[in-house]
Amino acid sequence: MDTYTFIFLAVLAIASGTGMVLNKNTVNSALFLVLNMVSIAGLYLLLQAQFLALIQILVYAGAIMVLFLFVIMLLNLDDEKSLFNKLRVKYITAFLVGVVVVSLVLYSLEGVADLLPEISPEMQTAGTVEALGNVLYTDYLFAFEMTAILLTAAIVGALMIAQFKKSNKGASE
Amino acid sequence: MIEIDWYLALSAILFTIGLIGVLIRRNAIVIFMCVELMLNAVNLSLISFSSYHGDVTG
Repeated sequence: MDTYTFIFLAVLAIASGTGMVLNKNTVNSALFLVLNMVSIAGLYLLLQAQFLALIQILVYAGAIMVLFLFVIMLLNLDDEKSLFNKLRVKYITAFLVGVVVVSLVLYSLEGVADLLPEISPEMQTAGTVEALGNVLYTDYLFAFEMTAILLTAAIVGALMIAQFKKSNKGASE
Repeated sequence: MIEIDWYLALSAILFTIGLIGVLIRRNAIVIFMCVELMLNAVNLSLISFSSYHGDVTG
């Protein structure tokens, strides 16, 4: 059962990722990305990471994709009409780079596959909120707080830039 | 359970799709979306390592 679910979700993720890259319409690309995020959240559930699956749905499929769609609709982006009209050097280079990267990574996976330890049944509870919170608020507290400070600084900076432009325009009028 | 190799291979393929997207698209928003795809691929590999080691820190 696990295997079939994995195959289904993996095919869905790869297909929606390919659809996102190849689609000419920007809004369609964003919706394909939502499908991709949801299938990756399903894979997290298969990996016993329930909390991260929930966060993946809430943050990525919810917040970030709404942000993308708002930007697309506010900026009124055009479709890329000439995406595959001509066979340019750029596309050939991109394809070759992709082939090289995927073959390198798959080749290096072969080397480390034997080094991984066996799983014991009590290790299955690693992905719960309790285990995650335990580690996050003890061992990784500094990194957690630094991330919080960074995000706060970004929000304050965005507010300052918006305020500055508004008051600047008001002064010039 | 599925072997960890399959998750890592899927992660590599998704990362490569994102990389190709960054290289061939010209729209800035679509490039950002492809970067998100790459970030998610790396997240998937980290979570699969964490799950298979049975350790939250991976």
